[in-house]
Amino acid sequence: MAATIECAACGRANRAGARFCTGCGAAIEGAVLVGRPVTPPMPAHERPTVPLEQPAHLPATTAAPAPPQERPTVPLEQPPQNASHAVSPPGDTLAGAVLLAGQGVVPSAAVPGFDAALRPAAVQTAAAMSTVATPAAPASAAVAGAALPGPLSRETFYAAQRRYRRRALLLSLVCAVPVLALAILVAALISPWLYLAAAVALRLLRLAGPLSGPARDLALLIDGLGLPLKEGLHSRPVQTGAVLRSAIGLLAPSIALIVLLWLWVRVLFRHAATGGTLLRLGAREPKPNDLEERQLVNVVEEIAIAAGIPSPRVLVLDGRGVNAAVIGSSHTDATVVVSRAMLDTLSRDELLGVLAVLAGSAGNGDLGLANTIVSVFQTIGLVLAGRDFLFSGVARRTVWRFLGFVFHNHGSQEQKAARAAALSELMLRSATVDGLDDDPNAPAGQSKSKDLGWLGIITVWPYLASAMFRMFMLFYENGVTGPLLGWIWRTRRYLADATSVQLTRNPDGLAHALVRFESCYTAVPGGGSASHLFVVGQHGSAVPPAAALQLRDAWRAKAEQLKGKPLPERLAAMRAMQAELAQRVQAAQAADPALAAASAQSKAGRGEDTFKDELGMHGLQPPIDKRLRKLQALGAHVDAPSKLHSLRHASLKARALVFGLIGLFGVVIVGLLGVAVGLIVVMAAAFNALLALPVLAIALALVEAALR
Amino acid sequence: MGIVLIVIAVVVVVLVLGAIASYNGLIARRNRVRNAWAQIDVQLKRRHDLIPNLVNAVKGYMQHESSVIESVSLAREAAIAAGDNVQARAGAENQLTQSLRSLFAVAEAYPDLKANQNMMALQEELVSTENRVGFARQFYNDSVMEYNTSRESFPRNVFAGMFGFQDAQPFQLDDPSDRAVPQVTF
Repeated sequence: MAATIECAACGRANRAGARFCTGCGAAIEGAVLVGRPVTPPMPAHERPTVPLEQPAHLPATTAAPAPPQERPTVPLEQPPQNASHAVSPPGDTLAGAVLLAGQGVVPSAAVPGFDAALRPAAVQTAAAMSTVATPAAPASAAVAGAALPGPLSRETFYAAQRRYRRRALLLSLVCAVPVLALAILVAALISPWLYLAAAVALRLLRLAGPLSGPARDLALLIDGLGLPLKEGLHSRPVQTGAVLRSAIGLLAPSIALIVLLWLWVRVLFRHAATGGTLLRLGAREPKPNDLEERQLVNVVEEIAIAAGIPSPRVLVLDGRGVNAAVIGSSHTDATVVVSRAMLDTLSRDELLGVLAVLAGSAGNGDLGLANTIVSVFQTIGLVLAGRDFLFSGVARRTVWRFLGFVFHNHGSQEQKAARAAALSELMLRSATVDGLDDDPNAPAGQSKSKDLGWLGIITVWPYLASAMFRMFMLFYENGVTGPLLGWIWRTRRYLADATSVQLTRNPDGLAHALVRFESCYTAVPGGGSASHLFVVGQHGSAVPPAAALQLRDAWRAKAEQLKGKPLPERLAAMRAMQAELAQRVQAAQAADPALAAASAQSKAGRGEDTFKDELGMHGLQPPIDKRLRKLQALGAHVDAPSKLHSLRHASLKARALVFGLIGLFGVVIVGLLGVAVGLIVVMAAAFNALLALPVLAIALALVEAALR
Repeated sequence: MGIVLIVIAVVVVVLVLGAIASYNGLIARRNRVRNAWAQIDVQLKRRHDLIPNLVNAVKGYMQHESSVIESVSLAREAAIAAGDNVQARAGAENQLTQSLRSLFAVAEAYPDLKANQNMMALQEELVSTENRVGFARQFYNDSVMEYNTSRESFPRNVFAGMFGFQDAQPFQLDDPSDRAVPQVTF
């Protein structure tokens, strides 16, 4: 950093970090605001172009953004095209070195943590080089040829927000269709049993005397519904209108029941989920005598004012993970959980950006959306558990626990929260393919379901029917609803990022925080089930930064060597490097047991009971690369890497080869999947229909008997 | 004949529903604007309440800077006295901001004072309050923009005129001298 700063008004040299000139008293233009700024945040049009606030103990994370003409892409064949522009070739000048830092072949994320460890080293090197050159970002752009910094496509955050909101709404409408279809299918599953129950009740009523009044009307109604079935059995012609009416009549009560149940479950678990998650995270109140934690509370309240939401509760997490989440049922009932490590790692601007993401997310209604989505699957799980009540111990346990929760909920807040969390887990698990069997990962102490013994024989058919349906649901959830829900949630995360820019009017804060997250250990133990509510995906870096830097340089040198060589040779060399990297990671972990422990913990955290993964909601957190690119479009000065594996500059042959292979394998896989899914659908339908028809027939017979 | 009646009825129903939705939307946004304006007042009052503590903490260390301390206290009293008169209040609050800045600039030269825990906590609170005032103004302006846009865009502007909704004024620095950088004299 420069030792002195010149005053714009009188030209006197002041010490670095001074805000006011000691000669004339004017505020120093471009003053580096070290420490907390006293001035309130200025509106965007008055904001001076200051370099970003840099905490004393960490290197600057700015990097000169490459001029648009040299936006780094992965040049597989040709060297970067810059001869036509007034910029020196890479490697000759510092700006060129910065360019190199921005581009470069980064290995695939096959080795965990390597990718994460690489990026900050790249940025740090770039920053070191750029700060040696000049103290301010625009200046180095001037060195590079006076081209405008920033990407070609800029947009306002209002436009970005509008776009994401519209997209999320559209996706929600699209996603409602398969979810409704699933609900109708589940309704079709349970309606025979409902009608059987009604028929048995009516028959028993008949024992007391001939039916009259509403009971008789009900019996007549059911009898009428069964008309097409009876006519079909007697091989008389059946009218389609009658079949349709009877199908609707069969499904309507169960659909109504499911909808009502869903609304009820939504209300029941609204506050319960919050308590359970917070308990599992083990968050604590902020210490009143710790200045940083008081500052955190103040910052959260400030950003809540900017967002227009009531100030959320603030809790602090101890531990190694650098992450934060907003947990709650709505924007009026939110809790912000920030890890202590994040307070130590991020500067005030960056912290503000991160908290603004959380506040924006809460203000946009993401909490209610998450609650709704989870409650849909909870309801489906509960209904399926009810159906499998007779022959599955887990289903029985789920239903009993649910009834206990509704009617007999007592104990301390903590006990209630824990119970609600466990019940929610059970219900969600019941909606998946494992729902019929005991959870092998269940904590010790949970009673195993009792075996039915010889009674199990008569339950074979319904068990098979249920298992087939769950298999179908596996494909359905992972293939249809899962990706859609994941897409919706990722869009809401982008919306939260854009809202953060709106609230702070400073995209750099969040961008720099994200860059820093890539090199940090962000896994939080206990945060598996709420992973979608955290500000960044949970990962751990298994490689120490120094080693990562070395490896990155070696890799880059190798990439330079390989330029112009044919594709197979490049692939072989990359594979060799990956093997070497894996070896080095193991050596590093062997040398430092703490690192190995942390890596294991992060892996365990990833494999935790993340129900969203079970329900197929893939990739809930958008990749940091993409978030950085979008923030760059909003104006952040950050060296966001372009799409690393872009084939745009690859030769036609390479492109044809890749697309041809993808196409071929894709067709084969889709074909196989289609056959498998088709088989499963047919079998599930057959099993369940063959189960439903006798049940319906018995019900109708009982009703007929009741009417006589 | 029946079809025509039905179509007219549907159109009327749609219009009425649209009017209701527009009205409710405009009401909600206008109330948010009013609430945001009140929020600015809340944060400014918070600042008023913090200043006596600040003056007490600073007095012991900065005996030679009584003029600066005086100006802060006087500015605070003027701001409280200005009350609801928007012009006078705005001017008084700006004066208070400037005197606070002078005070903090002067306090930089007293390392004992800066190290004092009490002073650090107070400084943090005042910084936070300034940020809150800024954010409250930002939120007010955002709400105003949302309300005005909603009021002026079609089809809501049709109903807005009928129901008598006025444009709201964003928070601006009316006095050009407020945009000038404050001069700090030592």
